[in-house]
Amino acid sequence: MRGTALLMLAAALVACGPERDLSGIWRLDTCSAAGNGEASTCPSDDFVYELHLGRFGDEVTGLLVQYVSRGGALNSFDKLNECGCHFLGSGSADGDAVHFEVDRLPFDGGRGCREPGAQAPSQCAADSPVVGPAACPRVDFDLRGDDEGIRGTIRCCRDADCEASLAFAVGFLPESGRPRTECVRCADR
Amino acid sequence: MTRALVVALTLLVGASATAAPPDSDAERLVDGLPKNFERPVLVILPLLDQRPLALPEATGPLEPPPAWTTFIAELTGKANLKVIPERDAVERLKRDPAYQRGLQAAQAIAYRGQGQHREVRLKEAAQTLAEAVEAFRRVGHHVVDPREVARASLTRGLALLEQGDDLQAAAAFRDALMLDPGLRLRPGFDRQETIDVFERTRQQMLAEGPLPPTDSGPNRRRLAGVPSSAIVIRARVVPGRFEEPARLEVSFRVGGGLQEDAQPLGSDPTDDGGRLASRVWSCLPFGQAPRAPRERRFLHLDAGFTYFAFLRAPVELFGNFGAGLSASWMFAPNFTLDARASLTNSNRDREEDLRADVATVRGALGAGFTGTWGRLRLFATVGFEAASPDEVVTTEVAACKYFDADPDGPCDPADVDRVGRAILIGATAGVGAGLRLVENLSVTLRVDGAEYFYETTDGGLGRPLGAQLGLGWRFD
Repeated sequence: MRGTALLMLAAALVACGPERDLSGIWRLDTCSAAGNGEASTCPSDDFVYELHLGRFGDEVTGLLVQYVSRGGALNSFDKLNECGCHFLGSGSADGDAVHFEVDRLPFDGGRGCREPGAQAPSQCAADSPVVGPAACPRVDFDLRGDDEGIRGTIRCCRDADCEASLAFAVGFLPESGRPRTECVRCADR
Repeated sequence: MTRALVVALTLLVGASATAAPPDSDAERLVDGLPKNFERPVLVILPLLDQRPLALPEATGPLEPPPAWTTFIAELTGKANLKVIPERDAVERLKRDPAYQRGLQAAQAIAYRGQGQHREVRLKEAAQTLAEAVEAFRRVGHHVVDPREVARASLTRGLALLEQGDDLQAAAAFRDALMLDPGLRLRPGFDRQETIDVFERTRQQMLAEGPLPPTDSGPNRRRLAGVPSSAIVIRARVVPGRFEEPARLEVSFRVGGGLQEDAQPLGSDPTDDGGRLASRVWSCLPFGQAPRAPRERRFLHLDAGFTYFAFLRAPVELFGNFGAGLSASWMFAPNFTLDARASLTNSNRDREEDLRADVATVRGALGAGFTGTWGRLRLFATVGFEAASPDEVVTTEVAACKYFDADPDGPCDPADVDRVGRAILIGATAGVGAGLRLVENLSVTLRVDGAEYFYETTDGGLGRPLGAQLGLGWRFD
């Protein structure tokens, strides 16, 4: 008992441990259809997608943010660039693997502010590029960290059990900066 | 009845007398000295035997008179004294690094002076050899090897004489004979006029009775391992004159005053040496039992960094780091009154269930026990502690760790627990050690913990355990 307390005390002395691994900003770098021949549905260069992850032990949360690419360096905090923002749900982590889902279509482009306080960009055109078919009630992310970034698959689930899905192999690279903790609201624009 | 009363009184007085402390040093010796008795240190320098002064021919050192051997043995046998005999004293002198360095320099000067004398640069030789003799004496070499110093003095006398300065030459010869009474010039080798002056000097010393050495002996600081309070005994044997027998003279300084004594050497050397030893012993300090070291009252202040963790907390362990100050006042030997205060701010727990830094003020009052061993000071304290941690905000929902609580956002404010500032009171105990670095400055490490038995608000925090590392200063 006393030994355990001392070990815990020692752990408390250490500022950072694996419980914070993968926290940070990750920008989508590669995307390809995973065997279903729909690579053309990967996002075009007109948009930039970023995961703003917060890992707390075996739980993961954060944001998936879509920006309009205006060329050059992206300012993640410029509200004018944002055109899609989604909370990550059901996040979990185990070692260097993370899983979470987004229950709104992340790549469906903006359709304007549907209601006050909603996270949707007004400047995203209705015909913005779409990753996968437009109707994805949920998108699952299964990613694993390595020396360069995090890689894995995302699946556009067409049903509740995600049995009918389209899968894409994706890779995210780390970006410097402080992860965002809020989406731009229509009211803020 | 009266007789019984007298007998009873006699027994009572007798018993009282038995229990009384000893009246004399001799009784104290008989009763036995305590184990840690502080004995005066007595350094006995080599005997200066001036008897060869009376012999016409050159001679080496004579066997010391048996009385001298008895004298040393008697003093060495005194349980209250720590005697450093002749040979040991010489060895201690030779062990002094300054002696080694100074001797080489002095010998180099003497060598140069001898060379100047051979080259008949008489004035320079006399000057250089005077410097050599002075250098020899400064390091105590006249005690270690008086004959070498005597040769330098003799050569100086020869140089002075050849310059025609008979008076100074005689003084140099006198110095040489004081150090080496068996020193003689050699007919056929030395000039007869020189031998005559030298012999006149010797005869004059004999007629006057040779004077005791005028120098103050070697510096006690040059005797390795000898305390500055040591008493140095110098002794000489003076040859007999006319009807007077030879005598053994001793001199030493006690309490700033010079003590001298002499014992004629009769037919019973044991008795002579013993008598002189008894008289010398009675003039020496007896020594004393060491006084218990008086612990003076002092105030010890420490300031440094404090780190602790609440072993009882609503989340996993988290560290608290800040500054601490402690004061310890020794009011009685080994007992202290202690006060301690610290101001810290928290880290986060491993999974960051703790959502905001917790600033904590802690203060304690108590009593302690402290002991000092050389540079090391160990202490232990017990007392009462009051602490006041700031608001404690916790959540176990990951969304609430990442996002601000917002009814419209992913973090429901109901998932965040908040407990306002609390005041906690309890008992504390600690141990620590301090290591004195220089003068009153020390580095101190203290480990302490507390158990609270009263809290204004149940924030779930308790049982702090931590340490303080800092620098301390002792105010006497």
